[in-house]
Amino acid sequence: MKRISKTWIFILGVFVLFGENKAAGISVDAGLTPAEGRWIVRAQSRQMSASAQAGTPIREMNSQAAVLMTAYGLRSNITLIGMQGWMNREMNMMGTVNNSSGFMDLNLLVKYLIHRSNTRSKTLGLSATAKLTLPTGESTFSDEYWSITPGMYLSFRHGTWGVDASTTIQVRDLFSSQPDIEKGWAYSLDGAVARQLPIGTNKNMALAPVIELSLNVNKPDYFSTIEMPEPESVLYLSPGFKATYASFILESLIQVPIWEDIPLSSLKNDIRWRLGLRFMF
Amino acid sequence: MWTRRKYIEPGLKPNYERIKMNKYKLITAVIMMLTLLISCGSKPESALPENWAGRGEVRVYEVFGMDCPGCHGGLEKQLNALDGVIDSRADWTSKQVMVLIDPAVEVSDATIHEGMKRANFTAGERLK
Repeated sequence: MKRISKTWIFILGVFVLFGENKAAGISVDAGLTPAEGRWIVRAQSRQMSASAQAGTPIREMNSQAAVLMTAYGLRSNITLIGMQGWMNREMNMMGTVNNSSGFMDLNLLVKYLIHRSNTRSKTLGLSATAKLTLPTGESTFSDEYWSITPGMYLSFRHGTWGVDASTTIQVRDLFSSQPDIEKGWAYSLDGAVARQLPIGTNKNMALAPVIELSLNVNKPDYFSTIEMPEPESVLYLSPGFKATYASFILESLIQVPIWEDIPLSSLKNDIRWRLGLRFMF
Repeated sequence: MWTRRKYIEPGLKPNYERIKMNKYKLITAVIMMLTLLISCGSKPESALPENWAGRGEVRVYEVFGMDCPGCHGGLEKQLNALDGVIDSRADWTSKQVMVLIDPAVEVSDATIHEGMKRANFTAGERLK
């Protein structure tokens, strides 16, 4: 039971940590940094569930998370970001229901714009990020170790079309030499296509259908001599939309797991849902 | 009834999980179709903002890099912070920004371009 619980904390931690990357398709400006002096406040609600695979004991997990993110354009090419989440999770293990809730780990990010070019019809942006995860959350939801996640973001705009791609790799447990299932790395590759459509004659309103493809891979500690769980990979196809009115953006996304390569002991991911609101000033 | 029966295998309970999944797909498809319908035939407006008439010099610049209405605020904030700029209005659809300049203050195009750069946009031609 302890092992199952640890595995789930491990998986949830990765989804929470990479949540920002997956949502980048919805935010659509992944490789672009905001203007100097610009604040962006983003609140997001997430619904996740998973259930046991066929032929294994009955287990279910349902969780809801609320994530608050604040970003500030320190300079036109440097953005500082802080992200804090709160989670409620219900685990059903063969009829025994366990409910827990609390804060998740705090994430601090720096985004640096490497290149941006704007022409009459095209915009290209390339950014690098570094995310530091501090083990400040409740023990149930915390990774309980420090980690750093470097990443690269690429954005391309042509007319009303937008394409984003990002890749990140999380290096776990920075300050420990002990082999552990929580060590190793997690890799994420995300792509998104969106189209901004003006609504009526109001230049302050737009609606953007978005489609994302996200691959998440977990690799336990390669260098360990103790027994490690199997690597886990999940591919999501995620349709969504983004509605913009002046400085407000309402966004929603449904993440459908279309391919999974997970051990039999792990829970199978169900459809996930996100609803968020952004305010920029 | 037909939809429900489709997911009921003989001797088993209905697969509500799958029914729920298809409900999500349907909602998403409807939202996307509405998006396309609403957007058909839309044109941007380019009228002079209220209360601008007679207050100063109005300039119009091309701006490259805006891709949604959310970009307006970032550009306008930078331009409005410039000495001599009374107000500004950006339009991502026409890739233009209108700037209201205080006639008592000398504001060069280079200054305006610098404001655009701080907002991560690129200045095009001055249209007016």
